[in-house]
Amino acid sequence: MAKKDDPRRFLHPATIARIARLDLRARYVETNLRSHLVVDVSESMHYGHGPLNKYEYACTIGACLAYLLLRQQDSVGMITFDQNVRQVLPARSHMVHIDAIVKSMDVSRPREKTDIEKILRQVCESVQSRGLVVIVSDLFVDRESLFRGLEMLAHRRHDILLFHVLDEEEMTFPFTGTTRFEGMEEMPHLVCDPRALRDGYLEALEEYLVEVRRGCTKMGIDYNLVRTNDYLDAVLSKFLHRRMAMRTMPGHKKAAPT
Amino acid sequence: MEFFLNPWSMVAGGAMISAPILIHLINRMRFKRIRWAAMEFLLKSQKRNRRRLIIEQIILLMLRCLMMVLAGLLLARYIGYQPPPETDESGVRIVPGTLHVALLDDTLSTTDRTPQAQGGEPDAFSVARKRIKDLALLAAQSEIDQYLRVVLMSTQDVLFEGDPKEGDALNQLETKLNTLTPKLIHASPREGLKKCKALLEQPPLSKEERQAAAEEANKTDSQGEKKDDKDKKEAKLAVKRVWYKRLYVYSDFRDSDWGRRVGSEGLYRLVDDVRDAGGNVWLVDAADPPRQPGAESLVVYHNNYAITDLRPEKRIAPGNSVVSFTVEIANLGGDTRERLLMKVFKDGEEDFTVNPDVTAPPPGGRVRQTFEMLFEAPEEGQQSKQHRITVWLQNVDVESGLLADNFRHTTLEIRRDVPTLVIDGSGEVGLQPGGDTRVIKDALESAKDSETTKVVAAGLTELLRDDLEREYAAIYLVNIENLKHPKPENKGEEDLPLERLKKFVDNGGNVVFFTGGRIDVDYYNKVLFKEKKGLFPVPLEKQVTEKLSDEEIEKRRNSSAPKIYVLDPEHPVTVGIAPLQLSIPDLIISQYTPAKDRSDWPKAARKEEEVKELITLANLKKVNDATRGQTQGLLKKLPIDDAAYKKYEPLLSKHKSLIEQTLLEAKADEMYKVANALEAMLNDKGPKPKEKDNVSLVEFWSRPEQEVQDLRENIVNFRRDALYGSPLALTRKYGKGNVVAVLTTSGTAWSGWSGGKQGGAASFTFPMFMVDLQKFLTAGGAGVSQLVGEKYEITVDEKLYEPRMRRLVQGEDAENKKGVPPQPGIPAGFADVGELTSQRAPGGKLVFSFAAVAGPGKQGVERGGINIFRLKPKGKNELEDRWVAFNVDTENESNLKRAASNDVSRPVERPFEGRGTIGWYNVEDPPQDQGMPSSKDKKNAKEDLSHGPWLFLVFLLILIVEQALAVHLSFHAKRSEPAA
Repeated sequence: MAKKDDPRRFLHPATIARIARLDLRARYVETNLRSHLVVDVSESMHYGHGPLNKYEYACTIGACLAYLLLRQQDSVGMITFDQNVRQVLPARSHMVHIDAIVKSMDVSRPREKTDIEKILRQVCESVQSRGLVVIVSDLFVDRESLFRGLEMLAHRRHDILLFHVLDEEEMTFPFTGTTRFEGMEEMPHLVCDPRALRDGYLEALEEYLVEVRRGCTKMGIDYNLVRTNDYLDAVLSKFLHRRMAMRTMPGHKKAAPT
Repeated sequence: MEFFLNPWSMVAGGAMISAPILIHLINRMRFKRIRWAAMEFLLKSQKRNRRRLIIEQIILLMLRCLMMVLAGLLLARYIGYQPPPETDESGVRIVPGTLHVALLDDTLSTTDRTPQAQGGEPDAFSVARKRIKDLALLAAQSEIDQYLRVVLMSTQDVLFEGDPKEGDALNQLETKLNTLTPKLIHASPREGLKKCKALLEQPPLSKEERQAAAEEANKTDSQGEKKDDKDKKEAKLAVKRVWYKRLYVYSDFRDSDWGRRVGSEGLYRLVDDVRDAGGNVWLVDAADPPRQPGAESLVVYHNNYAITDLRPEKRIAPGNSVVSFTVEIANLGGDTRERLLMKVFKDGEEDFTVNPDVTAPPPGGRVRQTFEMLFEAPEEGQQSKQHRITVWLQNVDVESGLLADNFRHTTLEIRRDVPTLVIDGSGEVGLQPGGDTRVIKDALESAKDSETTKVVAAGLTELLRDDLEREYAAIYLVNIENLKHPKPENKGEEDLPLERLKKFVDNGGNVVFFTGGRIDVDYYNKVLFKEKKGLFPVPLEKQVTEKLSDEEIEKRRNSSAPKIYVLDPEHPVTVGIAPLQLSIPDLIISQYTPAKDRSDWPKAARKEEEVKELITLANLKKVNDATRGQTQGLLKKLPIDDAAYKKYEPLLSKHKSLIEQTLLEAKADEMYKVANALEAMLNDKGPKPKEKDNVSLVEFWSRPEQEVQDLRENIVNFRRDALYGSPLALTRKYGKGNVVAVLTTSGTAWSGWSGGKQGGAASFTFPMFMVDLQKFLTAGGAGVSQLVGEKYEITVDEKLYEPRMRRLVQGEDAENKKGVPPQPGIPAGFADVGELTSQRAPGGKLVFSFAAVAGPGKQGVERGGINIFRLKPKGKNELEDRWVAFNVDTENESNLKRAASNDVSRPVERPFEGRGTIGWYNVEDPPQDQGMPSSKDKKNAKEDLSHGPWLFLVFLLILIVEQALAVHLSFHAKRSEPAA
């Protein structure tokens, strides 16, 4: 029975029943998040000078997020890629699934990534239902392909989280003296005086980051630039707080809970 | 340039030049490897900065190259940079070098000491020695070839020859110079310059040529030598050597040697020849004080006293007689003192009987002092005994000047009798009363203190003796037709008597000629006079004078006019008769051999060798209208009325009236009175000669106005013509001896001087004249004194003497060695310096020779003192000692007056290309001279960038920029990151 002050007292009980079903479905979707972690395990991710290289850092991020999601009984899937999609784990909500996720991130012979659009299309195809897609990569790919891939994901109304992992050296380019830079992922090598090129490098890098950030913002992708020397707990904590704050913001599009 | 052509230098230079490029490339090759993910941005950056990077690298490379260039320039400045090699027309490389020839004056005058208070080198010789060392050091620093030759002025020997840059050449030169001592001799710079000129004309071998010659000498002519080596050697030597010629004269430049005067043209011609041949002549004055640039004509010099002469009145004196010695002291400077302290030593012991206090000569003047000493007769059994006498001027030249000329030595032989040789052309006739020999013998042997004089009459063959100078004190040649050998055995012996006589006089003997009717005038003129080169002092007229008639003789005897005039009243020969010349009007010379006119007498090269007229015959001009007219004419010219000579007017008027009065009163034969009156007018010293306002005619006649001088000359000529006729007695020096010629007979044949029919009261003066003449002839003087530095020979007959003799030398400090027992057979104060061997000479003679300067294999007398030459006669046990005194050459060396700077170094009159220069070498500020470095070169070198700090600052700046850029652009490995 509808209470006196219940606005639904004027509705037909059949309508109310129908709404109740819809509400139930919504509640189901809200409380049972299907999330997919897309981790870049290509050759370029194996660069790093600190305790963790980009690959290790990215895997740690993925593992942490998977653990947190599984803890709240959400289902988590895992997709790793380099030249192609290397491994796809369907989303599960059992806590034991964490082992499979971690194992799937272990790569012995990394390869270069060539066509990111293709990979993201595969991701798109493999994740049928709307959910959370967390991409962890250094994004050393063609920007146009990247944006086209991300657009595909965004078009499927996935809530996309992008962790852009870069090494500290890649951000600051601190090298001195004549150096031979041997390109990963079939890039050419270059002997140069790094200090002579530093400014140009940082300028190009900044352009790239701005372009990526702008593209992500345009598509409503939650973009996070992380450095491998950042404390991981701080990075995740900051990220989660920001996500929670975003939910309370007026006009916030209802997104999958995290 | 050869430094850079050296292959090793080329390699080093190439390495240096390529160093920056290599450094650059090496730095490019050293890099670290990084596998990099974000290559996209790096490539993009590299693409954007490509141009800037290339420019930076190029700048770095250029900076490094610039550094190398700068370093090379700085290095080249100090190591062997030379202008590009010059080549001649055929393309042969011209290699320059400098040939230095240094003439070192090591004669007596260079012992002139520097006052100790001034410090520095003790004497001029040491200064010269040091300057040569400085020259060698300077030459050793030169960049081009150098060759040095050092010539000694005394001997003209080459002391050193070599390249100062080679090995221990400098040490060798220093050792030789340090052991060198000045010679106490006189040596003309002309001989040294001749030698230097010859050495300058002999280009030395270059270093390569010397090495090649040494290698050639070492290498045998075996076939092992490859042709390639030979070609290489020839190619190496295919250069043209050009030697800059430099002549340095290290001397004290005394006026006596270097003053411009008649006779010094030859010396300066040699210097000019060197200059005209392109050589530079540098005059280095070593004497103290240094020449001042402003005082060209007046060069300050040290005072110096010298004993210029010491001679006994007789060379050979009888025993137990008092012998008078004459010492001449010269004050050759500006020292003014009244008295001097003179010590006299006899046989090494000071003789306290001689008054040591003597009058000092005025500045620039000389005084002659006489002192007497008693000599005992030789001991029983000895025919003669030798004594040595030394005079020492004490307390003069204490700080500066020469010491060697404050001593003078002489010897005196004391004999039981003193022989004089008379050779009479008339033979035995001359010994008859009135004969030529007889009057000489009588005059000499009968004179007081002449007990030991022994006149030996002999023929011409006596002149053939070897020991003429030892045997005879003097030789009289009386009315000798000629000096030809009467009986020559071999060809060439005809002139032997003349040669012996010349040698006798040359060695200090004295000879007297009396003419007469027998003499061959042609022989006298052609052989004995021989254009001034012979013994006889003047040429003779062919015809003797006509004999005076008896009336004329009587007329002259009655005339009061003097018949002879003594022209030099102070000469030892005429000193006795000079006061009596006007008192013997009855002296009749009825016939004589007239000498040719005085204008025909050739001038002697040296003043001392000039003929000196001792006595001249009176002209006996009459006082007549002609001579009166001439005298009046002269008197009219006297400027009595001239206002310019007003103050002389009283004296001139007085003398004019006196002369006019004499002209009136004089008899016809009393022209001498007129001449005397004229002479009185010329020599009137005024009434108050010692007062300032005195007016004298001597002053008047010395006025510079031409009219006064012309008048004076006319009066002098008139007086001389009026008084003096043909010369009667003359003398001249020949070698070290004297020749006296009396142009009439000694006997009574032509002359009444020695008595006879024509003789009168005047004949008492003949013995006086002869005794004075004999004293002059037997006086020691230079006859027994040799000069240190002159060649000396003793010639003996090999039949009479052994070919060896010993030489005893007076010890240096003989006077100080009192009490030291003499060695057996050696007189006290002497030391035996060794044995000498003679050389054979033609005619069976033995010659013992002494060089001017002792050296290897030759003996010489090096210092003043007595030398005893001890000969061993064959077949006798007794040794024969010949004592010879050696003294330093005071006439040429003691006067320390220095030649005017502008006299020695005259500017070039007509400079032309290739002509060198003559100049004074200023030690403090050496002149810039091509071919060798000098301190002035460095001082006056053109300033360039390297003299300032800016070049080095720029260098430093470039270095800093380069380093900064290099650090900026290059890889510097850290410990943790190894280089690739």
